[in-house]
Amino acid sequence: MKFFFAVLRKIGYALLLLVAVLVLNFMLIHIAPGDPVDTLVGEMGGASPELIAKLRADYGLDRSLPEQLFTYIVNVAKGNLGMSFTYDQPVISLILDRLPATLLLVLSALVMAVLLGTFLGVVAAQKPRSPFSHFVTILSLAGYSAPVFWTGMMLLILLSYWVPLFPSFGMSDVGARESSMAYAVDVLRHLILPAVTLASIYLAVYSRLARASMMDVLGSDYIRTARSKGLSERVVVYKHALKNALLPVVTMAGLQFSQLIAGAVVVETVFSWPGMGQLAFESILRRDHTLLLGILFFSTVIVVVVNLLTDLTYRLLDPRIK
Amino acid sequence: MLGPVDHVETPDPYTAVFKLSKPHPAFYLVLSPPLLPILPRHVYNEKEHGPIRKNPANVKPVGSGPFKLVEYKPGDHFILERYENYFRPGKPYLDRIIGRRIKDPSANFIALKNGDFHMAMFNAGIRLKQLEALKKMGHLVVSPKGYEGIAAIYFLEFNLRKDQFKDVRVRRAIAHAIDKDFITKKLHGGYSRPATGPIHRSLPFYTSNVRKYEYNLEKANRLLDEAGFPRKKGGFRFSAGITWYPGEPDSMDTIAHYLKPQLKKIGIDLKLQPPADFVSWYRTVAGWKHDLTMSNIFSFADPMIGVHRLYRCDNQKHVVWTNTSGYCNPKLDQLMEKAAVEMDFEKRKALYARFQQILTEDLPLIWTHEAPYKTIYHKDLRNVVRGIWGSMTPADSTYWKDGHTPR
Repeated sequence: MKFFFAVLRKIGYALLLLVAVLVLNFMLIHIAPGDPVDTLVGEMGGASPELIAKLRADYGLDRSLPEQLFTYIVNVAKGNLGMSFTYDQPVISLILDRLPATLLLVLSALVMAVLLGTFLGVVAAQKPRSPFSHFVTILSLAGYSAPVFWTGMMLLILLSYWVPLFPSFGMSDVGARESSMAYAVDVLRHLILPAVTLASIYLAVYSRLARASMMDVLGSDYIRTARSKGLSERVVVYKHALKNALLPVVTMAGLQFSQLIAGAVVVETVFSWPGMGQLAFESILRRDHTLLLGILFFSTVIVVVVNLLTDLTYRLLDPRIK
Repeated sequence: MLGPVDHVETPDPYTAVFKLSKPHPAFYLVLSPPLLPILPRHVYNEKEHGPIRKNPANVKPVGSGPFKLVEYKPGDHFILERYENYFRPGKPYLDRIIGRRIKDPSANFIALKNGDFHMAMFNAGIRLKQLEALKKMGHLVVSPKGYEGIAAIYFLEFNLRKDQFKDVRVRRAIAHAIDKDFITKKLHGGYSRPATGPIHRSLPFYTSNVRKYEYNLEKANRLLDEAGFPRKKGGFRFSAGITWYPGEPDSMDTIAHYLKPQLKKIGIDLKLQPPADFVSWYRTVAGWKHDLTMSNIFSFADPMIGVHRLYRCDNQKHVVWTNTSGYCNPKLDQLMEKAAVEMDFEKRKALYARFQQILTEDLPLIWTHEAPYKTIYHKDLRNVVRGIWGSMTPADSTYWKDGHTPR
């Protein structure tokens, strides 16, 4: 029962957070000069003031800001995220269209960063002063400190321009009507560079974390016991120590999900990956308020849900957390 | 453009008779596809189907062209397929066209090199000097053809409402401090040409017989002294900010950065005001808040369509690409009115010669250069760009050379 109420309270907070995100973002967006009609006029190569006024009225942009905000929130509460000014399509369908691409990118990067990072960290932890350990430290720090767009550009120049192994843009060869297997291979080919780029930042975090926590665990009593039983080093490390050393890594993975989505904006722009990040970036440039708010709303929902799940998992795993 | 059209008669399904209220020398240009695409009434009739901008057919267009849209992912790609009932028999030649929207210039560059794209328009965002590298690859053609109609001309705009720029001598002084040859030869590597006045070279009304401002710093300094802007302590006469249209770095950012040290030489403290993005620039210039801006316009083949708007007294609007400099010369207005109804080509040409002479005297803008856009395409593609509208016209005659197998 107590658990049930705790969940209810969490959901209540989450809803409050969502409203706050909407209102705050709405205000932030309107600090930037201009509105979507300016962009339209730019694309048309100019327009008469009469047409501009008509467009503003059509889109309801001539009303006061509080009025616009109120209408927007009422619509969202009804489950209607509105129409995009740029594409003249419902925001929700644009987002759902792009969501799979972003999820694919973010999840691949996350899995790659966690698996590879943990592996490197664990190996490094076994011989903390070895050249390999130093190499891992340098590699992860370099990945962490290099701007993500720079990493992306360098990979493009290296593996797409000099050695044309991978395509330089997009998620698939549009129009290559092939079998679903061939399509999957095609997407994979397009996925590798952006996923590696996005993973490069987080690789550092996980390898450092895994290294530290592994060294910690390796020094504990039960490991000494295991060793004194005469178990091989491999069994000690991968069977006994790893499980415990993984806990902080898993925590971090849950927490960092939101940052990954933010990183995706940059990576998607560099690699022309047709995901939500690219859509968000463009909607800012075009002052497409409804689209941007919709994307922010959606990302907030995803992050809130992931955090809720992480929280609940803890409660189930570790009864000490109340 | 369609102002003089009084009404249209349609005596039979294949004829349209336009009744005009006054002569319209650019009328045939107005009827060309990029300016006046034909829309089906049963889909777009505003009385029945609401405003055109909100018409659901906008994402599933119904047109009269050689291809039909079979797939469209907004902001990413579209796929066109040959339309078998196209009104020109036997055409189009291509079976399919795939359009992709890639904003990143480096990605475009790599894709063109690797043969992922066979054609790109408007330079594909690639910097002018990099075009040379594309040319050298051997399998690509970099062609300036097909942009004669657009005829983009680049200029430095004065906001004449600001005290510094009210005196024509100040504007002339600045013109004398700009070395146009340096811009086109050094900064653009020969990929642009100096502009001499308000009308683009590819328009038949162009004349080079106008007042010219040779590069002469001494003269520039003297003009500023005469205009009553002596050098103050620190060597500067006055300061001014410059902003620019974002999106064409070679023709905008580069020029602004070139102007800063140049104008310092004549005692003007130029402050760079980079625009955050297009809309920010729009708001600054449309709000008449700028001192100076680098900008450009498309001439759209005829001065009365694309050029008049920058100079007409009654077109000082809070919209970009109107008369945002605040220039007004009733004599020039009269000239434009005459030229807009003059059907005799030679007489019209004479009117526009006078037009160019007046404007180069008054100098509300300094026209720096013309940088024709480039279409980049595979050398085995034929009939890629045709006519003054180039790639903005239906690609119904484009085909692959015999023996070419596109990958």
